[in-house]
Amino acid sequence: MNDPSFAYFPRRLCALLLASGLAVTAHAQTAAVPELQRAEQAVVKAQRADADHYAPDLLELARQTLVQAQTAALSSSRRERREAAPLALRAEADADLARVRSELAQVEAAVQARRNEVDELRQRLGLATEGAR
Amino acid sequence: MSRRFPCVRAGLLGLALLVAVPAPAADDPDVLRLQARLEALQADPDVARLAPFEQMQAREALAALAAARRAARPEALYLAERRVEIAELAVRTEAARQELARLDQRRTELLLEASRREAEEARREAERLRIQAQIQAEEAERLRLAAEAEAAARTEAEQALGKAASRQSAQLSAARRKEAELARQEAELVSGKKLPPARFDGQSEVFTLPGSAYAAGKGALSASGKDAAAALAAYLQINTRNVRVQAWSQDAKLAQARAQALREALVQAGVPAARIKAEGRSGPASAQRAAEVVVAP
Repeated sequence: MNDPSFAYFPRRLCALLLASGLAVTAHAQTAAVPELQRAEQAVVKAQRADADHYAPDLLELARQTLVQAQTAALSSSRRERREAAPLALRAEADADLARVRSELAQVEAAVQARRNEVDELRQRLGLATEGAR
Repeated sequence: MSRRFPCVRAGLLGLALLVAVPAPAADDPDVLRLQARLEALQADPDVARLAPFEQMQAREALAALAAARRAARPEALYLAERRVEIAELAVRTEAARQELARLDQRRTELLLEASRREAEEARREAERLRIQAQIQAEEAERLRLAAEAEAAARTEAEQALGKAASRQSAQLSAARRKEAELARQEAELVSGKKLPPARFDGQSEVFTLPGSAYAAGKGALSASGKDAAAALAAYLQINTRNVRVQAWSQDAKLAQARAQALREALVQAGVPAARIKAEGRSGPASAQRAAEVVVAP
C-alpha cells in the first residue's frame, strides 16, 4: 500500500534511477554517445549524396559499422559499450569517405559533360578547342 | 538532455587529454607518409585553401595518430588514413566544382556568342535577300525604262522623220510652185499672151484650157486656144519637163484630134515633139475644161 522502501531515497536519486531505466531505449543510448549521432548523420548525408550508387561498398561498410556501434552502445557489457564510440568514429569516417567519393564522381562527370559541351560549342563557332587546364 | 552535456564534455576532455599525451613515435612512418600527403595539398597554393574543414579534420586525425597509445593505434591509423583521403578527395571535389563553374560561365559565353552569331547571320541573310530583291527591282525598272526610252526614241525618230519628210516635201513643193510661178510670169512676158489657169495636182502642174479654146465641134484650136498654146509653148521652153496633153470629148476621134491639135501647136511654137504626149479622153468636155496640159513633176 505505502512505499516505505523508497521513502528514504532523496528525490535526486529517484530521478537518476528513472533516467537509468529510460536509458535502455536505443535513442537514449545513442544520445548518450555523441559519436553515434554524428555517424548516423554522416550516413544520412552520404545517402543523400547518392553514395549508394557511386560508392556502394563503402557506404555498406559504414552502415554495418554503425549497426555494430549501435549494438555495442546497447550492450549490457561495459567493455562492449566502450567499443561503441570508436566504432561510431569508424562508421562516420567511412560514410564521409563514401560521400566525398560520390560527390567527386558526380562533379567530375558534370565537368566532363560540360567540357564536351564547351568543346562542341567552340567547334561549332569555329574556335580552337581549349587546352586542358 | 542538458543534464548529460557535462558528462559528454567530461568524456571529450578525457579524450583530449589522451590525445594530448606526447607522441610516442614522432618518426612513425605512417604518420610521416600521411603527413607528406597532407603537405602535398598545402604545397599547391590553388588547392591549399580548398576544403579547409576536411583538411583540418585530417590534421586532427593525424595528430591523434601521432599521439595514440599502442592499443589505440590501429584505430587511429584507420581514421587518419580515411581522413587524409577524405581531405584529398574533398579538395579535388572543390577544385572540380570551381572548374565546373568556370566551364558553366564559358558555356554561357559561348551560347551567347552562338546566338549573337545566329542573329548576325539571320540579319546578313535578310540583308542579302533585301539587296537581291532591290537589285531585281532595279533591274526590272531599268528594263522598263530602257523599253520606254526605246519606244520614246522610236516614236521621236518616227515623228522627226515624218516631220522632216513633210517639211522637206513642203519646202520642195513651195520651191516648185515658186519656180512655176516665176516661169509662168516669164512665159507671159516672152509670149505676150495669157497662160490658161494653172493648178498643182500633187507634184504635177496642170493647165486647164476652157471649151472656148477650140472651135465648136471641131478639132482645131480657136484664136484664144492658139494664144494659150503660144503662152504654154513659151512656158514649156522655160520649164523643160515632159508634158502630157489630154483633151476630152464624147467623141473619141474628136478628143484625139483636139489633143493632137494642141500638141501640134506646141511643137510648132518650138517645144520638142519628143517631150509631148497627146491623148484623147472620152468624156464630156465642159466650158471650163476642154483640154489639159499636165507638166510632169
